[in-house]
Amino acid sequence: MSGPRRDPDVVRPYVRTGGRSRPSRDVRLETLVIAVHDPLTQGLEPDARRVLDLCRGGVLAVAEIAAGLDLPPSVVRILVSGLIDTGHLAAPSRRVRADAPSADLLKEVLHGLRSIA
Amino acid sequence: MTTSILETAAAVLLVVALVAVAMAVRFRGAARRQTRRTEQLVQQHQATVTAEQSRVRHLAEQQQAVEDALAYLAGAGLSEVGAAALESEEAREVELVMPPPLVGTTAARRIEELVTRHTDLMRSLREEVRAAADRTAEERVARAHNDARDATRAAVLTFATALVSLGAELAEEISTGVRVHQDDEAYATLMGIDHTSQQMLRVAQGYMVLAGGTLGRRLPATSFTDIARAAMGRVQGYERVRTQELDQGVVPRAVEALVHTLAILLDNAVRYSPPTAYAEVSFRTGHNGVTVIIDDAGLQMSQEQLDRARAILTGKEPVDIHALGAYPQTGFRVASLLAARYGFRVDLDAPNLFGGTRALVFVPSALLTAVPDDVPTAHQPYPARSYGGQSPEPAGQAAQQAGQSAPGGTTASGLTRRRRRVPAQTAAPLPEPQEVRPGRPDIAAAWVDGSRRGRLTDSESASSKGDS
Repeated sequence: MSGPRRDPDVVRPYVRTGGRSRPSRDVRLETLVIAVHDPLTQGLEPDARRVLDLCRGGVLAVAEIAAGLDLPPSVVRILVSGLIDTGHLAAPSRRVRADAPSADLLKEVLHGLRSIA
Repeated sequence: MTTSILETAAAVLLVVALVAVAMAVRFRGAARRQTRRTEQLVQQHQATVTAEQSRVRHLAEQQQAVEDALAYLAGAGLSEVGAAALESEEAREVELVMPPPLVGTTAARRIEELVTRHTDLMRSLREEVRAAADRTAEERVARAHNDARDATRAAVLTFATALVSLGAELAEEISTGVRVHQDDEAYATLMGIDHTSQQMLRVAQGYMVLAGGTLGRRLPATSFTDIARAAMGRVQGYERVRTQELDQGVVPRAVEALVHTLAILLDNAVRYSPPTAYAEVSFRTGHNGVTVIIDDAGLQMSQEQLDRARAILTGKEPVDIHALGAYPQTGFRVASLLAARYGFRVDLDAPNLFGGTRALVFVPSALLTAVPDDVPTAHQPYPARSYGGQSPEPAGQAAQQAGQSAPGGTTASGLTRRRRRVPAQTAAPLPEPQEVRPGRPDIAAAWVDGSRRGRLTDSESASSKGDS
């Protein structure tokens, strides 16, 4: 063994979720969430607080949060569902979906994605 | 006149006769006495001779008896007496039957003394031989014990090390698995396996430490919050543990030892608590270090149990791999070994405010360090990882590339144009660290919709079209 190895799961996932094994609501990887303004963070678990900190000031997808915190996506889905339940996070996607983006925009995104790949 | 002469003569004769008679009588008496005396003397002499003869005979008999006795003792007797003295467990007197001629004689007493001395000598010899034999046997037993202990230790160490290594591999595979499989059922199953294997790992690690092994796993400097939560993961009833938080970190080499020690104490706290009670973990920062306090509201330990547990925990009772008790004691022994090896202290106190037991782990300043704050926030870059999606920015960059690097502003359809900070690289081996930055909701939603549609199968696509 060579030096300390970074182990993202020294705290096991089931401890991070407090034993919950599935989200309390339909939260997917692509679900977008945003922090509700001035939520009280007292009484939150450390990981929930990290999620909330990351989401402050804008919209993030669950997958991004998972990547950002180096946590298993299922853990983040469970944490996010809990934070939505407690009113710390909001999932504005439904509201946003109402004014669907134009075909031009989507085309441009698709084109952009292809050029990355 | 004649008459008178006659008379005188007669008288004289008579007198003479009388005297003669008297003399005769007298002599006869004397002769008789003499005879009697002679007879007496003869008799006496004979008696003396007889007595002498019998005495001589007696002495000869005694002599013979002494010779016989000596011959017997010299032949088989002394060895028998000695053997009896060697064999008899207790100081039993050897019964010596003297032949009648010797009873009460000095020779008999001397012989008895001889036998007694011999017996004593043999007995002391026996004691010495036995003591020497005992010493040898004890040494041999001690050596055998040591050999057996070494063998046991080696066997346990080999076994436990193999288990720990496999358990660590399993944990890594589960860590990968929960990132690959995002299905709820798969996650729940993996977590069940993970929780069980983590407890298995804890038990195996315990035996590894007891057998003299070291906890090989090296973790980076870790905060007390995460150490406590890592410990919770190795305990059956972790849902009943509540922890405070402390950002203070522990140096890498002591992290795993502290996690293991806290897991032992938490397991003990939860195991002996009613199912509705919580174990509370709190931290006290002092001048010389940090104390981790674990309070439970469980069964109260008796003073005797407490004293014994404390003796084990504080290392007053040596650890013998052949004399391990039930699990908590084993766990306490492990904690005590780890504490001694890594330089922290473990102690117990009871009853606490909740009527249960309080466990204390004092971590001295030498083991403390700062934890690098690697928590990514919205304003800190972090290495991009390929789980699920990309951050909104690449789309912007892509759009920028697509839009022939027009300076600033937005594209016709509203995407933000960004100026490229570095000249276009012909060969960019690694993507630059991206920032997680909240995007504009409409753009993010567009990206989500696009990526979702791209992933839908034809039938799902048809049904989703039907929905909208």
